[in-house]
Amino acid sequence: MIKIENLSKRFQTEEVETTALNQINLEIKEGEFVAIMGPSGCGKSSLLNILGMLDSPTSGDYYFNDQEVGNQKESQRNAIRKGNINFVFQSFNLIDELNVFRNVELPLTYLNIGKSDRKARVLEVLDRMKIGHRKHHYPQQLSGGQQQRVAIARAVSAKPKLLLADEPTGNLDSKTGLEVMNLLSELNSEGMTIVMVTHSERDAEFAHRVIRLFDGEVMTEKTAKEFATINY
Amino acid sequence: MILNQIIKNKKWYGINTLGIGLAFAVVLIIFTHAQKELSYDRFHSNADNIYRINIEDQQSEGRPPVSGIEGNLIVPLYDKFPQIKEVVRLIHPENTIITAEKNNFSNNQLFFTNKQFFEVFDFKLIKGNRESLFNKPNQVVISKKIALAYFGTEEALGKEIKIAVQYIYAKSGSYTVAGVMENFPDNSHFNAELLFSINNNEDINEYHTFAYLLLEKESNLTSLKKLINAHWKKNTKEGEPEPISQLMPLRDIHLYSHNTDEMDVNGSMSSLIILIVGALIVFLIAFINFTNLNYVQFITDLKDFKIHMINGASYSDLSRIIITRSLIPISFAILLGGLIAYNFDALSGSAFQLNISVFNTLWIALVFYLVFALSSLLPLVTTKVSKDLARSPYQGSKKFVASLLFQFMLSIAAIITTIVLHKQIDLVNDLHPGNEKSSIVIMPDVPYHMIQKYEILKESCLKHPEIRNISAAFYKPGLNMPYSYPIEMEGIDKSVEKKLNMFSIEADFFKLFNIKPLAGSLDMGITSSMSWENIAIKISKYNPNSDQVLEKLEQYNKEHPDFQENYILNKSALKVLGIKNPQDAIGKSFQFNFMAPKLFKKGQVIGVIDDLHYGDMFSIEKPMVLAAKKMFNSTFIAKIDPNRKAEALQVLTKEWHTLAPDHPIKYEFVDDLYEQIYFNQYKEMRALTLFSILSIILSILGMFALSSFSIQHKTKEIGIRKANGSTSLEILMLLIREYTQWVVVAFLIACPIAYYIARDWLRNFAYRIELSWWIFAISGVLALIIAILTVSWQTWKAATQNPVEALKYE
Repeated sequence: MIKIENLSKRFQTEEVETTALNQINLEIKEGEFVAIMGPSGCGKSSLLNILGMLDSPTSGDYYFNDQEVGNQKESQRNAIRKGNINFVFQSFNLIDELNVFRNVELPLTYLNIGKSDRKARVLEVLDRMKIGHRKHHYPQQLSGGQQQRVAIARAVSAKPKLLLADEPTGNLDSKTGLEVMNLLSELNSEGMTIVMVTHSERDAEFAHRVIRLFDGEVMTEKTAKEFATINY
Repeated sequence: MILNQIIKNKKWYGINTLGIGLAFAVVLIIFTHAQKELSYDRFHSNADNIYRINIEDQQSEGRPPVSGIEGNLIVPLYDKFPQIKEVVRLIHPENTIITAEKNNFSNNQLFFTNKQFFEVFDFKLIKGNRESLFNKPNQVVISKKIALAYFGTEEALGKEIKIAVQYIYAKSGSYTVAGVMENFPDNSHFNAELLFSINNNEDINEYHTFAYLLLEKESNLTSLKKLINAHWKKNTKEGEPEPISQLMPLRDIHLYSHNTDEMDVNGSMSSLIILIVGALIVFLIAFINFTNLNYVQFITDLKDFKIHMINGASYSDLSRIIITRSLIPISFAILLGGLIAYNFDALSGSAFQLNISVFNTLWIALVFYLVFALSSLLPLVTTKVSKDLARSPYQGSKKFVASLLFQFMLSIAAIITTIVLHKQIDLVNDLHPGNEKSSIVIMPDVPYHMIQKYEILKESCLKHPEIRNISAAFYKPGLNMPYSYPIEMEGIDKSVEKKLNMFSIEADFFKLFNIKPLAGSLDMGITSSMSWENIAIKISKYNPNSDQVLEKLEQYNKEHPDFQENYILNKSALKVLGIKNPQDAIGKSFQFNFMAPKLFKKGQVIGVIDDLHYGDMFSIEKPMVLAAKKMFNSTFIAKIDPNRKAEALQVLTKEWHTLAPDHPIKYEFVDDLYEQIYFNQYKEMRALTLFSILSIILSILGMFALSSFSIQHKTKEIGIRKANGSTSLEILMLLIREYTQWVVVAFLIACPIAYYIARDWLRNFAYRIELSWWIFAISGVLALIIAILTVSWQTWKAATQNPVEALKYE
């Protein structure tokens, strides 16, 4: 599903050039659950942004479903992303002015889905995330765990093929975090490809494969089992 | 959701609604006004080929031409020049009393005209036959308004109208109503309510006439002017000035004619330009505020936009969101602005007499929607939304420097020019005679039979304590009589002819206007009686040089032995005569030749006054000789108790009515009279004041919003600075400096701009204020104070915050 070849990302400021990603090669198959780990500033988020087509690489190729997308125009990348990829963030990134229902409905409104279909899909996904009773509430009226469940509901309401999660449990207590990881795991078992950036060793255990980044380069790639035996 | 948006961003919505609303009101008002001003006289199908023939004023340099011309100059225009198709003459007698159905009416919108009027002009006739109008003598065409006033609902056609009292045009008599015309439209440079017939052969040549020429298409104006001037020159008597013609296109009269004796108060192109530029400035400032605030808002919402994009929104989806959101303040603004514009006349005391059309409102609203809605997309176009969610492109106040500079530059220039205009109008008012101008009442164009009863009126009025003083003069304040006449004075070289302007006054004139002599006295002593004046003028006018007449005049003088002519000169007259010390003029014998040789007896100069500034200030003071000649004093002046104006006016009206029951009294206050003279200047001053206030308010709002945004983003910096030992005051100064430095730069740019505008405007006047440095300094300080107050309001809160609170932010 995802194939990255010799991909680099450099940021240019007035004085210095920073290399966030350096000649990365990577492949992710459909239905995989991959965790990306590494210290702060190692390029995890840059990689996730490129995978999510929010940013373009400085050099190298990025194939999404065999189509080169890294060097496409922004509008084309937007069109490819639409309905295929969605995100879950550490800070939830819900829209404060929209209530739970409208937040979850958001991706569907950009897919030209009819109003009644939208409603049915939103209610279904809200029920699944066990947050249906809060559909008229606004984000600031919810707890962190509830907000992240809404964020996941929104991310999956359009049934994307790829879900990118950036520290999805970073702002949650361990119990709530565990619930969220179970949810992601469940989605993955239903066929959704998930790439998750995390600092948490525990969260990484949910993944099939762990990629470690250091200074913009892939250091190790291990399956979750290998990873577990090394760490414990 | 929309309501949530509004509540969350009330500052943003409020400022934009107010800003765009004011801009919409201003644009709608000024556009409607400008449209009317530019439409004057264009409704005639011949408009492009109609010209009014004016005469250049050769007697005083720099003065505008005279609109009317002497009748005898018109006669050759009828048939001598093939380019001239038709000639319309309009004689405008003032102060006419009309009798219709046994009722007397005073009407000032009355003209005598020839048959060609209806061929050249398109004024609409409702009743009567256009082709046969004025084919018979003594016909009159009246307006719908007059028909209703004089005859009510009865048929006006065929009714009789009599001219009862006439001042300058002696053709009284009975006229038959031959037509009723639609009331003249507002955008006609003159308004006639009654048109009395004259025919082209009539001997009416001594009357001041407005002459309109219908020319052949594409006539060569320069050559026509040359031909007319050559013809006039040929027929000018030796020694008299040759008249020089000026052909003014009908379309230009309203905006470009500043002639001495216009038929109505005209507009002015420079006023119109000031208004349009002012409106543009207000629009620009509102637009800048909108784009700045919009940018600020965009940055605040950038995270949300990114979320939308992540969830599949395309740029066009985001554009739709942004435009929809901008429609709210624009719609509120258009409602607010429309409300202001439609009630502007009521709010401003009918400054423009606007008639705002729905069509204009709609299309200007549409333009506003388009301009502001589209400009709300600017930040989206210039920012990469989908880039890293954590990054924000905010760059401090630097991005807004240009717009802040521009706004404050405009505001400061507006303040400076506003102060200059106010100071100049003050100067003009101070220079004109009379202390409390609002308590001096002028009764202009007094009919001859009332002039004869002046003393009786004065005596009876002064019995009432509300009337403080009564006097009379040649003409009403604000007029400048262009004609000067030869004088002879003891000690002045006779070989070079010296000419002075005559101004006749009554003895109490100086006391009433509180004028003190520079030398000598202002006591006119015994003045000539009206019967003497009448005989003098009669005798000398008809047979000026016959021995018999002179003898008779001598004899008549002997019958009035006490009477001696006293003359008073103004400072400008001394200059013309080459007298440096006013005292040197006193007691010198003086002879003045005005109208008739013996009308002014030889007398002496008894006093010298400073320049009177009785006329307008557009030209320098005329050298004047003042004398008391009762028959010329057709303007009565009353000084009344300022606290009992209503009672005083009642007294004047009552006493006048006792003496002239058939002639309604007409009066104006001196301050109003001068305001009419400076109508365009007052209009410019008021408009500029309004625009200054608006541009300052809008600039303050803009700066307020920007600084609050920037301070929000500096909360952390403030905390760090305080944690490192900075005091609140130091932080306040730091934040204030960020903005005020640009106000200083704006001031430096604004000064020369304002200087040139102000200097240009002051050129209207012959007497001008100095463009002192303090006017500029005050404006700069004012802008600086405003800027500091605006910024301090929010910075103080931020600067005094507990650093721990500040550091918690983000």
